[in-house]
Amino acid sequence: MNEKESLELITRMIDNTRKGIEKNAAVPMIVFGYASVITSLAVWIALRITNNYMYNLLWMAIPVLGWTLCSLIGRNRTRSRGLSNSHMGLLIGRIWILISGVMLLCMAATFLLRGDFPVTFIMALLAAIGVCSSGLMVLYKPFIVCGILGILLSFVFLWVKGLDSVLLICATFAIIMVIPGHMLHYAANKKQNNNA
Amino acid sequence: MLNQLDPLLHSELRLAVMSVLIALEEADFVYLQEKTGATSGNLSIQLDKLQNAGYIDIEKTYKGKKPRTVCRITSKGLEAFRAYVDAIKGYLEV
Repeated sequence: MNEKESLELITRMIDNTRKGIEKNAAVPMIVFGYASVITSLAVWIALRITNNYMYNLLWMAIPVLGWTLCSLIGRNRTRSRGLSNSHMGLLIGRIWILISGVMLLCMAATFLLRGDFPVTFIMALLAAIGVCSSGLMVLYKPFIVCGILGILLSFVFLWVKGLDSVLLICATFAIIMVIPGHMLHYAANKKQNNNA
Repeated sequence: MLNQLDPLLHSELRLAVMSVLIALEEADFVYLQEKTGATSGNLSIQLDKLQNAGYIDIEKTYKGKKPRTVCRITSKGLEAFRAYVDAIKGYLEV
């Protein structure tokens, strides 16, 4: 192996590893995005049909569905392709654990205060801040743009109340998580195919 | 004067392993094997050489009943890798 080949090998290996990291980063965003969209729709349907306030407990399905699906996907991937943790991935993961924890506290506060709490505003704002900060850390523009859009959109929840706010939060989750998640996944796949 | 290339890193598989680990916090044996395309035996030998030189840390754990070997680059390994890249750049005049 000569010097030129060594440098090419280093570049190729680092590049391949980074592409894998990008692809992995899209999965939690897509999983949590869909979990949030499906849960919001379920809550909207249940509240519209029954008008029973207790169906708000369904919001708890977001972290439960999200973490369960993510760990299942992670376990399958680890079995076939092995385990790898990037510095940035661990940092982003810790930020999302913090955000999820605060979201759960907000849900509990809503029940304790019997709805006298701007939960949709705070939830949308927290999720948008999470997406935006993830984007800023990995310098991925769609996450930054959709995150900022989500931050601005979250303030609408201060005026939109009732069932309409549930539909709006469903749309917000789709805009800030599902769409940029798919964009990153598609871009990472395209890069890998071009490389192959 | 050109720096001499570190013979421990100037091997295709060991350099590939170090290049993967440089971009990560940690990686397990299966991941390194998938990325480098090496056989288990060869990878195992090269990982031992890197560990003996103090370039990587190897942690052997269990996940459930399955053994897992997790590798991390050390600060000594990071320094050696940097010196190796600088030396190559010197040779290639880039």
